[in-house]
Amino acid sequence: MDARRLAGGAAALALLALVACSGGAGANKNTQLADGITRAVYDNNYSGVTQNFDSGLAGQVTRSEVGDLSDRMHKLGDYTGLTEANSDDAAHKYTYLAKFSKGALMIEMRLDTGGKVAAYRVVPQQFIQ
Amino acid sequence: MKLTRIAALTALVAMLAMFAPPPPVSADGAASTRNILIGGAAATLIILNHNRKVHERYAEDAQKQAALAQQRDNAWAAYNAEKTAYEHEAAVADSLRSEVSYQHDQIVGLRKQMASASSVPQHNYVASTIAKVPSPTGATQKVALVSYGWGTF
Repeated sequence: MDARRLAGGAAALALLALVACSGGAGANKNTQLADGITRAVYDNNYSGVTQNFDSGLAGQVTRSEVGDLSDRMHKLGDYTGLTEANSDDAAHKYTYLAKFSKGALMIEMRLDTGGKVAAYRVVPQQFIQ
Repeated sequence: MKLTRIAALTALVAMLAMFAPPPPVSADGAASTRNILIGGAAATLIILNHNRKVHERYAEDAQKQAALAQQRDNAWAAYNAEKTAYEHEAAVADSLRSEVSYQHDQIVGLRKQMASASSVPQHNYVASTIAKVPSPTGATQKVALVSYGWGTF
């Protein structure tokens, strides 16, 4: 009986771990997606910025805008990565804190139902508390 | 024309008869004078008749010419009337064509405006975004922040 309970408990823990890992993988995936876009913006890489945008959003991006945002990031020093600050899976909205050697930016990202980026916005450092 | 020749020939014969040497006087003077008067009267009648015929012919010709002129004038007037009517109709058609062309241009322009308005995405690289930030009292408050990027939330 105890062996059965132990086995059941182990299975439940394994299932919970699997669920947790899957959710974490999703979060990591979105975080990696936001990180890749932010790095592409920082590197002034137009195709890298738009490759994960949906067709409607990619059509709005211009090279000059990518360059402008890249300049703003470079004023904060070297890009060191980002961490998730807030997420709303139901609305597919995610907020990250992008860290630089001399400051930080807030990154907002929204995905469409297909997993493509439908919105990507950057809030400058002076507005972040 | 034939009558004219006959009349001229008759007049010539009469004049020759007047200048011909007189025949031997075998009659009395009264008869000779009567014959001369009768011949002159006949010649005068012939000439008058000829002149009348000529004037009648001239009058007929003039009437024919007048009739032809009337017909020509009528035809010319009718032609001018038809031409004027056609020119008016052509002017009306040109006006309608111009109006249709103008309306067509307007429709094409509006269609282009609609197409461009629907095809050009809304551009909001610089926009305001609402964010929740902590207030000095410790509570969170919504503030409008300037953001850079693409798309809306």
